[in-house]
Amino acid sequence: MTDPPPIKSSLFRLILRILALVLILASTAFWISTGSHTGFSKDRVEIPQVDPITQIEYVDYEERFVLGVEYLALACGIGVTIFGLSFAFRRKAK
Amino acid sequence: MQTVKTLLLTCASLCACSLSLQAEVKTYDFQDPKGVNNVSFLLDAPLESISGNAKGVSGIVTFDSTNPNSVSGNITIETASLTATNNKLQEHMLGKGWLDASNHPTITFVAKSVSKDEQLKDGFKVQLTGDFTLKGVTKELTVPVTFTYLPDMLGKRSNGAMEGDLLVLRSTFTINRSDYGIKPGQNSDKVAEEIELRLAIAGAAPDA
Repeated sequence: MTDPPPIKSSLFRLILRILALVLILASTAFWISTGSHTGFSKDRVEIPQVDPITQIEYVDYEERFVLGVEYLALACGIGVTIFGLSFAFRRKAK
Repeated sequence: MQTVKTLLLTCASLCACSLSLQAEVKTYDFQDPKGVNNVSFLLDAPLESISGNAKGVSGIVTFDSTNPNSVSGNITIETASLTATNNKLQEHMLGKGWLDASNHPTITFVAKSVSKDEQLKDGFKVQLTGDFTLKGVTKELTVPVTFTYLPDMLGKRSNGAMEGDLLVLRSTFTINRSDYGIKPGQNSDKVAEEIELRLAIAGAAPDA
């Protein structure tokens, strides 16, 4: 009969995997909530307008942060790395 | 006696005719307190698409609604009014390495000659040749411009504060940033060499 894996090791593995999942899900949710913008991040958003008399199209800006794909990729990258690290804490073979 | 009378009548009709012709020539001020006048820019590079807008437009254009070939004037854009959607990008764009807005505060176009292209329902389409100055470099450009003449529409636009005419100018043309000494040949993967400019501005000529 072999000893069960140390609690510390399996706990670490679980914590890392949960952390990775939370990071990936939270960043994806935030990215979707700010408009699923497929370009780089924006500090202001263009609001298209049309002048009723001259029919000139112009934009007004709304100061609002929109998460870009660079932050999403970074967060997902860190999440995947943490998930990969969790494999360093393997169960001992029986 | 009859000859003198005829001569006087001819002179009077010539004066009236000349006055009516002069009445068609108006000077339009493109200073826009409503913040509608704008020039948008687009740089579409393989790795990054940069777009934005400038609203600091001013200028004077003299236009004869019966003769578009007489157009003259200039349009100025405040370099610092160029706005991008990303603060860091805007800071770089206006900085010394790129547009150097502090040393080159304006972008100008001064009309030199015009050739009528096409008569439209409420205006003209013309080819306008002029001197375009960006970052201190002046080049002659010929750009297509649509003039839309809106007689007596200033009152409607100003909620009755002023009466007069409006003139709307629209133009889309492309320049090459290397021609104006903006980092020639550098960063082309992220900052396109070609800059597409779209101008849509309205000028007002209040009644005297």
